[in-house]
Formats: sequence, C-alpha cells, structure tokens
Amino acid sequence: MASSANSHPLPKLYKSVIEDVINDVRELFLDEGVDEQVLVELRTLWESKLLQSKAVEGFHNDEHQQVLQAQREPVQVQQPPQQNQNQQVIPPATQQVPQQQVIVQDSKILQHVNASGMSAAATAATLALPTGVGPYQQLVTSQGQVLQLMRVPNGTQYIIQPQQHVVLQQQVLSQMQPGGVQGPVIQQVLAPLPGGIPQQTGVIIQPQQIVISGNKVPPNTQVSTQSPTCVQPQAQQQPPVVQPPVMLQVDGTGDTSSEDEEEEEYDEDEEEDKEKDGGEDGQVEEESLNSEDDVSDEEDQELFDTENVVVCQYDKIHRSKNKWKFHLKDGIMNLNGRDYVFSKAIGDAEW
Amino acid sequence: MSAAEGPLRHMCDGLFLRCVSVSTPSVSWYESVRPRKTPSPMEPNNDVALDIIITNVVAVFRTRCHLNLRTIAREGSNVIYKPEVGKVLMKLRKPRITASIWSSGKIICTGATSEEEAKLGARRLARCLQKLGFKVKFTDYKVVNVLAVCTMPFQIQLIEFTKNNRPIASYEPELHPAASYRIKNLKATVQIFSTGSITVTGPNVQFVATAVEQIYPLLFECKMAAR
Repeated sequence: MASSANSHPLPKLYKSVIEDVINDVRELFLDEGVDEQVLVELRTLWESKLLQSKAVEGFHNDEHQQVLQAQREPVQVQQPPQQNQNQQVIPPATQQVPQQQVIVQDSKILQHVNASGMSAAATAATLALPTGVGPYQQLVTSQGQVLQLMRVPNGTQYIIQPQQHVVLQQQVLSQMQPGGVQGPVIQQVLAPLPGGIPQQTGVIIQPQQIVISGNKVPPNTQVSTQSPTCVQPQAQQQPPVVQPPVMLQVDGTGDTSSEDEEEEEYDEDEEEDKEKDGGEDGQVEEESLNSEDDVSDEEDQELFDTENVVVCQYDKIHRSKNKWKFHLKDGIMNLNGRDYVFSKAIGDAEW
Repeated sequence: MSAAEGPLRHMCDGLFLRCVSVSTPSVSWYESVRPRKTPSPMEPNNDVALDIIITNVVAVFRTRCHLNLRTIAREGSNVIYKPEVGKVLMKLRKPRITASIWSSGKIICTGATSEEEAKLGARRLARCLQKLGFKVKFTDYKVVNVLAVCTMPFQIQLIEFTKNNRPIASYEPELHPAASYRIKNLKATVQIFSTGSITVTGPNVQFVATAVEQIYPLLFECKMAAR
C-alpha cells in the first residue's frame, strides 16, 4: 500500500482533490436543492474523464484495488479475462466495502449522461449476470453511452444509464457470456443518442484543462477582421482631393480667348495633381504596413503547436539578454498528454 | 550572417574609415574590434583602415493610437509586461530588436545594428501590433541614437589628451576609467580608453563617422606607444 502511494502520488493527489471538492460542495448542493445523485454523477464523470484522458498515470483505483486484493487474497474471485488495460473488475469480498469504483473501458467519446431512473429490468440484468462473482461494478461504454454502477459510501446504489436500456442490456449480455471482454465494447449503437441526454457542461470540471495559455491568438481571425477596416481608411484617403475648378467668366467684359482659358486650367490642374501626389506618397510611405508580411509568424506557431502547459506560481524569473532562468513553485503541468505536479521547479531557457 | 559594410571613406592622409554592422558576429569580439590593416596596392603600407562597428541603433516612432498594454501582454507573442513602469517590451528575432511600447502609442526600438535594420524592425513591430487589432499608423519614425565602437591601433595617454583638449574633454579616473569628449556641433560623445578603444554615441551614423574622423588626429597626438 505504501509503495503504491509512493509510486503513484499523482492519482492519490487528484483523488484527494476530488474527495475534498465533492464533500465541500455537498452541502451547497443540498442547500440549492440539487439532488445527491447529481453530485455522485459529477464525481463519476470527473473520474471517468480523468481516466479517459490518460493524463494521470495509473488509475485512481489502483490503490483500492491493491488494498482489496490484499484483503481477499485467500478468496480467489478473479475473472482474468475481464482485465483490460482500461477496465478493472473489482470483486469486493463483501458487499459492505464502502468504496466507489468506476471502471472505464476504451471509449473515444465520453458523453454526459442524464441520470435517469433505473428500470427494474435493467438493474436486474446488470446485477444478475455476474451472480457467481458477487456484485461488482462495470462501466460499459458504447459510442455514446455510459453505464455506471456505483456504490456510494452510504450504501445506496446508483445506476446511471442512458435512455436506451434495452440495447444496452443486449450488449452487456453479449459481453458477459463469453466470459470476458477482450477489447473495447462492441459498439452497436452507432447513432448518437437522441436529445434525451442533455449536456451537463456546467457540472463537469476537467482538471487537465485548468488554464489554457492564451499567449498566441491565431492571427487569422484578427487579420480577417482587420483587413476590411484597413482597407476602408486607405480607401478614404486615396481618392484624390478634388478641388472645384475655378469658374472663369467666359462672356461679358471678362471674355478671354479660349487659349488663355485652357492654359490657366492646365496650370491649376497640374498644381492640384502635384499636391495630391505629394500628399499620397507621404501617407503611403508612412502607413502601408501591409507590405510587411513574412513577419515569420510561422516559427512561433510551430513552437506553440505542442500545447504543453504549465500552470504555476513563480518565485523569481530572471533574464539576461536572451538567457532566461525560472524559479517556479506549486505547479501543474500537462506535458505530452500526461499530468505532472510539482512544488518547486527550476528551469533554464534560451530565447 | 555577413557583416554589412559601408563604403571605405578616405578621411585624411593615411586614414580610411568604414562603418561596419555585424548582425551576428561570426568572428570573436576581439577580432571584430581589432583594426584591420588592409594594405592594398592602391594605398601605401602605412595607411590604416579603421572599422567603426555599430553596436546599437535606437529609433522611435508613434502609432498615433492608444495601445491597450494588457491586451498586448495577453495576446502578443514574445512580450514582457512591466506594469510597474507602464510599458510592454516586445522582442523580435529577425532583426534582433527590443521595443518598449507605451500605452500612448510611443514606441522605442533598440538593439538594431544598422539604421536600415532599425527601420525594418520598427515596421515589423508596427505590423505585429496591427495584427493584434490596433489601428496603428507608422508615423514620426526617427533614429535618435547610434552607438559605435572603434579601436585605435595605438594606446593613448589620457592625461595628456585631457590636458590638450581642456574644456571639451573631461577625465575623472576615480569615477570612470575613460576620458569623455563631447563634440558639440555633431552632438556626439566619444569615450576614450587608454587601450585605444573608443565608443562613440551620436544622433546618426553619419555624425558618428564624422566624430571618429575628427577625433583621430587628436588621439594620434597623444598616443602612448605603437601596438
């Protein structure tokens, strides 16, 4: 037990976080009039998401599993075929083991499940099958459905099922009979569930996505919004300033010959053109920043594609020229899809 | 990167000056500041070609629009936010420059090694800000300071130099090991070290080169010994 705690500090930590949150929030939920079942469902969804993301090494249940195995070593109740990488079968020695256990099979999509009422038939089916073994929990995930059998410490049981009980039962049956599940659940339900399963996005907390570094905003959106606005002011500036031509009196005492009129008009037009060109050139040179493309944005984008995130506090950050030194503390990291936690970290980098 | 070199200028008898900007020094620092004697069949052997190496060009420009520093700090890349001072530093790699950005829209661009690089970097920076969503205009661009170093092929007697150029030169060895010489009409300051190295700061590259040209004969008079 101790060794398991040392080798898997992260699941232990996460599990304790989940426990604390759930316990602290229970009162608030009850005050708000929210059912305990929702709280339970929150917990299972949280844990299943954690497992699904594989961000944590080892399951939450590793510890419990080993505890149980140590307890019931003399009692061989094991079903080996059920052992999947992501699936655990935990046959408790007695029914009064106050543990919550969630088993997840390979599932690509985990959808939120409405805690609907359980039908007696479904309950019987799921519980009756492993009669020889004793009640145990199994999570069957089809493409969009989650079946969870849980025990809460107070002894009550909840089965959270999608609406389509019948289909699931058949699936479960087909699984159980060969005596084991080899791989992912046969996903016979291909169609997404109907709208009977509303999303509960507000309830789900995804600990692996606590902070998303918003350092880099994709330039596409900004450029597209910017370019129309850029075009407009330039369009406004560029049309030539048209001065109304001086009206010469052609007739009457001020009658001038046609040649003189044309010459005067030419001079004025030339002056107008020169002024226009001078003004435009100055503005164009100063402002047309569109020509500076190739600001080598792509290098930075490539570097950011990895999306390894570290969320932490800093003790000291130091820079000399392009050499950086970091003294960090109390951090959670998600590197290459895995979660890590540290209380102190020191780093060096060159920019 | 290769060194960008200006034309070789024949300053006075026996002295040629060349302004060099070394973007990424491929030679060691010692080699880059050591004067290269380039005798060619055209010049007699006792002529000296001095390389003036521009190490820093500082330029400013205005964007004529208010800049939200927090937005730049959150969404810009390669930025350092200094709220205590009220500015954001943005660093660019391509022309290696650092820009101080104020919310008023004034931007100071430092670290370039030539005037062209400074302008290019400033424009790239304005472009970055434009991409962040600000309606920037690139106006009032001006190079305000150029720093260059140069090495004489001889050592210098600073005390004698200060004596000869009494009001213009000042030398306080207890405060600073260099003598400083201000050329008023060029608005340039030259710091002279006894090793023969000098640093020149001026408003642009042209004035800096002229300053070196002006000071060379004064230094030559006070040389300590040939290297």
